Amino acid sequence: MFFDKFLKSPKKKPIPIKIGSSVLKHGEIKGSIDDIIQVILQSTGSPGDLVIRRFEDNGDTAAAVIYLETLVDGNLLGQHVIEPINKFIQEKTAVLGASQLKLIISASKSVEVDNLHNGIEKLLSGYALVIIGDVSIILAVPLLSFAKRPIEEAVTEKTIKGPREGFNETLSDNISMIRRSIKDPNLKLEKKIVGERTKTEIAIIYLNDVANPDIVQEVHKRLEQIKIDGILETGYIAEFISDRRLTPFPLVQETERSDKVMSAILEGRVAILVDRSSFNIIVPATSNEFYQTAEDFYFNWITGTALRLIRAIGTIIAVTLPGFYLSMVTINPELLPPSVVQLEASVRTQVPFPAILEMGITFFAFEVLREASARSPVNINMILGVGGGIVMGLAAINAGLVSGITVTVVVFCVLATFCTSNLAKEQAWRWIRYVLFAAGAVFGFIGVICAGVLILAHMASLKSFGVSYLAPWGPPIIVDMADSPIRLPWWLSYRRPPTYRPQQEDRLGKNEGEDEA
Amino acid sequence: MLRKTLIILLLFIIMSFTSGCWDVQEISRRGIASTVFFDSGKTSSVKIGIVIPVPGTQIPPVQGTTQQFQKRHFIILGEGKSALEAWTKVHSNVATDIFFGQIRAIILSEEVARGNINDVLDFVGRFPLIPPNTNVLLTKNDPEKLLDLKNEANLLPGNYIDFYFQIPGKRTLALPLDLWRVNSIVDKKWQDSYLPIIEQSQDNYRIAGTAVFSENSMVGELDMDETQTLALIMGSDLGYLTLPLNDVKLVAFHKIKSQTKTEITVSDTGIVTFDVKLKITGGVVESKPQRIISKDETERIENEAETLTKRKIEALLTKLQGLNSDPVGFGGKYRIKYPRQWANIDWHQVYPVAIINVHTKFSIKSTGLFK
Amino acid sequence: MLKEKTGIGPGLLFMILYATLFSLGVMQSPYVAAEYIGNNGYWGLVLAFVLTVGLIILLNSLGRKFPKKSIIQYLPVVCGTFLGKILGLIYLTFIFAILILSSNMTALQSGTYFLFRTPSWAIFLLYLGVLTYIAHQGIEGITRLAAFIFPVTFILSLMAIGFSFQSFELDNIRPIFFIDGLKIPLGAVQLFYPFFPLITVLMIYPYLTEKRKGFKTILGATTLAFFMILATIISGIGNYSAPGVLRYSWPVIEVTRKANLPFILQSFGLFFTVSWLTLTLTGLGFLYYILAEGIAQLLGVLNYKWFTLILFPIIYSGMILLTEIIEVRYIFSFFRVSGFVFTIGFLLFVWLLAVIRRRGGKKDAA
Repeated sequence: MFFDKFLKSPKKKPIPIKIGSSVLKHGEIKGSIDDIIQVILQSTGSPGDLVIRRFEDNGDTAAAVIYLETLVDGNLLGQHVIEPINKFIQEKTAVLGASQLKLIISASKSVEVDNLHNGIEKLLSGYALVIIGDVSIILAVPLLSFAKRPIEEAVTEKTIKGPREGFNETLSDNISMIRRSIKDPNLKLEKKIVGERTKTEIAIIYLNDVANPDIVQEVHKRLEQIKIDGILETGYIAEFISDRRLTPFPLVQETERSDKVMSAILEGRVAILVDRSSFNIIVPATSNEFYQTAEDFYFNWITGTALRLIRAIGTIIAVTLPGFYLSMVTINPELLPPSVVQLEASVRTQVPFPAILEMGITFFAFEVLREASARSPVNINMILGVGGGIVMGLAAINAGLVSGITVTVVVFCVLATFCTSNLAKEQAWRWIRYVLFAAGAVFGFIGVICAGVLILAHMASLKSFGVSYLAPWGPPIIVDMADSPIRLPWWLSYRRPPTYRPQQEDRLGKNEGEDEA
Repeated sequence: MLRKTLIILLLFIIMSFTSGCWDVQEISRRGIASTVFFDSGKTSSVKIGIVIPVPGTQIPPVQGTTQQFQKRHFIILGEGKSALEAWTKVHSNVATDIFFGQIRAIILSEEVARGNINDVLDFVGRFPLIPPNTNVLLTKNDPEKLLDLKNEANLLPGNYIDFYFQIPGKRTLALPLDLWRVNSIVDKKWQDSYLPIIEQSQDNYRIAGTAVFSENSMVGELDMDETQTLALIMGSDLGYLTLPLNDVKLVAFHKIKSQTKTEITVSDTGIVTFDVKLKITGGVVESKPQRIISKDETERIENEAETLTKRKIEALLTKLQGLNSDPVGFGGKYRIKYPRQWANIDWHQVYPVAIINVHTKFSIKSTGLFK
Repeated sequence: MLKEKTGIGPGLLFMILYATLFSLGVMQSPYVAAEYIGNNGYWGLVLAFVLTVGLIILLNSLGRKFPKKSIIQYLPVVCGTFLGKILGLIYLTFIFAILILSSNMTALQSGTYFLFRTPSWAIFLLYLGVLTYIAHQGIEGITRLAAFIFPVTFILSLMAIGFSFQSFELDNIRPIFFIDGLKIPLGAVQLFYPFFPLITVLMIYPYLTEKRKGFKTILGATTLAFFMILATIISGIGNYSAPGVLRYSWPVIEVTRKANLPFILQSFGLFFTVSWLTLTLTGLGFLYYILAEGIAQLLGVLNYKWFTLILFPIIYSGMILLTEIIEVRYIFSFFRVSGFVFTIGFLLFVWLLAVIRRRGGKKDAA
C-alpha cells in the first residue's frame, strides 16, 4: 500500500561489533607477554593514552602492566601495583606466578581475567591489566579515576526547604547517597551493563520485601531487551523501557533529587540509576507523581496541600486557557460576562490580525524567547529577558500589533506550565496546549472539550509497568485518592500507596498488602 | 497496523477541518447588541432598534479627554413586515455582524405591548444565544429617544438596566422579569405577565411603575405605590412603606418583608373565594416627628399599618380584577386545589368575579439605630 | 510486568454506568415528564426507577448464571444457535439505535447552542471521531476515563443543578399527589429511557472482578443517576412549569443557563455543559465499544478495535439520516416505548428460557 513505506519501521540490520581492527574470535590467553601485548594493541588500535610498563628481570620481561593513563589513577597504580611488583622482582625470592601476584597486589576488588574479551573491556573501564610470565591469567586491578562534578543541588528541581543533594554523573556517588539514607538489609542493588559500545553501568535499586516482584522482573526484562550501541543519558533508557512509545506523556519518572528516589524506593517503586547521567529513573510512574514535590513533605501538611492544589489548578489553566480564551473571543463570546466582552471587543478594534494569528504569533515569540534564554550564556540571559520579553512585548502592544489581554493570557499560560514539577511532563503539556488551542480555533468551546476528552482518554489508556497512568483516580483507589489532591499528615500516612501494589502496605511492616483490583 | 490506521483517520479529520471554521467571527467584528427594542412602525409593520456600542469606546478612557464624556453607543433601526425582516434591515445597516449573545434588556413599546407580547418575544426567544435572564421592560415613550439618551454614568443602556436590577434593594421598586420568566408565565396560563415601565428622568432612566397584562396583552399600568403593593402581595424581602399616621405624623419602613398565604374555596354555586393572609414585617427608618417609639406606640403603629396595607392591597386587587389581569397568580392556586376543574374553566372569566378577602398582620422588626 | 488483565472493579463499573445513565437521561427528561404527565411529571421517573430495580435484579441473575460469558456468547446456549444469533443481532441493533439517537441529539443540542453556523455533518464527524477514539481504548481505558472525570463532573453538575433551583416555585410542581388517570404509569414507560443503557452490563459482566458486588454497584450507580435526573426534572418544572418546559428544545441546558450568581458568575450553563458533554462523550464511547465488541463476538472475526473503525461510516450515516429535530423527536417517542418493551421483554424472555431449559449456573461458569 502507498503508506506502507512511511508506516513500517525500517528493517533492523545487526551491527557487527569490532574491537579495534580485527575481530577477536575466541579471546583465549596464550603465548608470551609480548604476544598478549601485541593482540591488545591490535584490538584497541594502539590508542595514544595506552601505556605499557614492562618489568625486566635479567633481560626477560617478568611482567607487564597495561593501562589507559586517562582513566587510571597514577598514584594508586604506583602504590598498589608497580611498587609491589618491582619490590618482588628485586627481592627475587621466587618466580612471579599467579598466586604470588595475587598476594603482592594490595588493591581490593582485583579480578582474574581468563579471556581477552573481558580483559579489554576491563582495560577500557579503567582497570590496569597485569600480565605475568605465566600467562594463564591476567589480573585486572580497578584503579579508575577521573574528573567528576561534586555533589550539588539539583539544577532542575530546586527547593526552599529540604536536602540539597542532587545526583551527579558518577554512579558510585549516587548509590552511596542512597545507601547512607536507607540502611536496610533488604535494599537490593543489582548492576547491569547496557550499550554495546559505551558499556554504561546501570544500577537497579529496590526494597526486596516491599517492591512488587512482578514489577522488578519486568524492569529486568525490559532492560535486557535494550539493544543499542550507546547510552549517553537516562532519556535513552526511559524511551526504551516505556510501555508506550507513541505518547507525549512520560511513563517513567526522571529526577535529579536523591530524596525523591529514596522516597520512591520506600513506597515500593524501583529506581534505575545510570552512570554518566545526573537524572535517574523511577518506575512505575503515574500522572499523580509528577505533581508532587519534595517540599510538599517538608512543610506542614496544610502548606503541602495548598502547594499541590496550586500546581494542579495552575497546570489545568495553563493547558486549557488558551483554547478557551480563543474560543470565547472568536466563536462563543456569549459565554463571557458582558463587561469582559465589551472590553475585549474595544481593545481588539485596533489589532490588525485575527485572534488565532495573534495568539499564535505571541506564543511562538515566547517559545523562541524561552529556547533562546535556555541556550544563551548566563550573562546575556538578563538582557534577553528584559529586552526580549518586556520591551518587545510592550512595544508590540503600543504599536497595536497585539492586544494586552492576549499577551497577559499567553505569558500567564507559559509561566503556569512550570507548575508541573517535572520537566518531561511540562514538555508534554506544552505541546498539548497547542492541540487544545487548535481545537478551540476550529470548533470553539465544544472543540476544546472534545480535544480535552480525547487527551484524557489517551491518558486513561496508558500504563506504566502495569499500573494505570491515571491511578489513583482511574481506577479509583480510595485510600490513595485522599493523598492526591491533599497531602495527608504523616500521622495518618501509615500505609504505602496501594497503587504500586507493594508487598507490604503498612509502612511499619505489620500488615501484608492486598492486591487491589 | 490498527493504531496507525486510527491515527491516519484522526489526522484526516483534523486536516479537513482546518479549511473552514464556520462559526469563527472576530469579537471586534461583532456588533454586540446591548439592548433591543420593539415598536410599531408605519402601517402596522414591526420596528426593531438595536443599541450597539461605539467600537473601541468600552475600554477605560484616558481621564480628562473628551472621549470620556462622549456618548458610547448608537442605535440602528429597521422596519419590516416581520421581526426578521426588520432585523435584516438593521443587519444590512452596520459594518459588523449583529450579535445577540450579550443582550441585557429588551424594551417593548406600549403599542406593541397592547398587541400580543408572546408573538413579539417569539423572534428574540428563538435565538439560541439570547441570554435567558435578559430583562424585559416596557416604555410609554418613544423607545428610540429613550435609549438614545446618554445617561449620567455614560453606561450602555443595557448595562445600566442590568446593574439596576442586580441590586437587591431595587427589586421591590421595579418587579423585574427576565425573558425566561415572561415566557414561562405566558405558557402556564394561570398567571398574567407584568413588566416594569422604564422612562427617562433627570438624564437617567427610572422605573416608573408596572404594566399589567391580560392574556398576553397590556391592559393597564400601576404606579410606583401600586407596584410596591403588588410586591407585598407577591412576597418581598426588601420593600418600602410609608405610613401616614395623621396630617403631620408619619412613620416610614424599609426592609419590608412579606409572606403571603392564599387559600381558595369554591362554593357549590361556583363562587370562588380567596383568603389572602399577609404577614408583613419592617424596620423603622423614618419617624416624623423624631421620637422614641414606645411599646404602646409600636402597637398603635402596627395596627395602623395593618389597616393601611389592607386597604392598599384591596384597592390594588380590585383594580387588577377590573383589568382582568392576574399577575399575582391566583389562577395557580385554583389549579393546585381543583386540578380537574381547572381544565374545564376559562380563568379570565372566573377571576374578575372572584371574592378576595385580605387579612394583614404587621409587626415592627427593628427601629434602627434609634429607639 | 504486573499481569495485565481486562478487569473492571466495582468502582469503575459504578462510574461508567453513572456517566452513561446521567448523560442520556438528563437530555430530555424534563420535557418528556412535562409532556406526558404534567406538573407532577417527576412521579413518572420515580415509578420508572422502581421498575428498574427489577431490571437490575434480572441483569444480575443472568450475569450470575453465565459469569464468564457475555450475552452474545450465551444466547446461543440458551436459545439455540440460530435464534441466539438472531437475538444477539437484535440486542446489538437496539444498542446501535440508542447510540445513534443519543449521538444525534447530543450533536444537535451542542450545535444549536454553541456552533449554530457549523453544518451538522461537521459536528457529527467531530463527535464520532472522539467516540471512535474512546471506544478504541477498550473497556479498561473507558472505565478509567469515566472514573477520572467523575469527581469533577459530578461536583460541577451538582452545583449547576443546585443553583438552577434559584427561581424555583413550589406551586409549579403542585399538586404533588394528583393522579390523572393512567398518565403517571404511561409517563413512567416514556421516562424509562434513561435506564436503557443498563442492558450493556450483560456484555461486560465477564470483566467484572467482584461479581458478588455487582447488584449493589449497579443499583448504586442507577440510584445516583436517578436522583440527579429527578433533580433536573423538578428544577425544570419548578422553574418553568410543565407548559413552560414544553416551549424549549433542550430544557435542561436552559434551566442551567439561567442560573447565575450576580456580580460573580454570569451563568452556570458553562459548568453544566462542560460536565454533561464530558460525561456524554464517555458514555457514548462506552456504548460504541459495546457495539463493536458485540459484533466481534457475534461474527467471531477480528476484534473490537477493528470494528470501531468498520462501524464508523455506518454510525455516521445513521446520524446523518436523523438531522431534522422534529423527526428525531417523533422517532424518539416511538423509540422510548418500544425500547421499554424490548428491554424488559427481552431480558425476561432470555431469563425465563434459561430457567426453563436449565441453562447457566455452575456448569456454564467454567
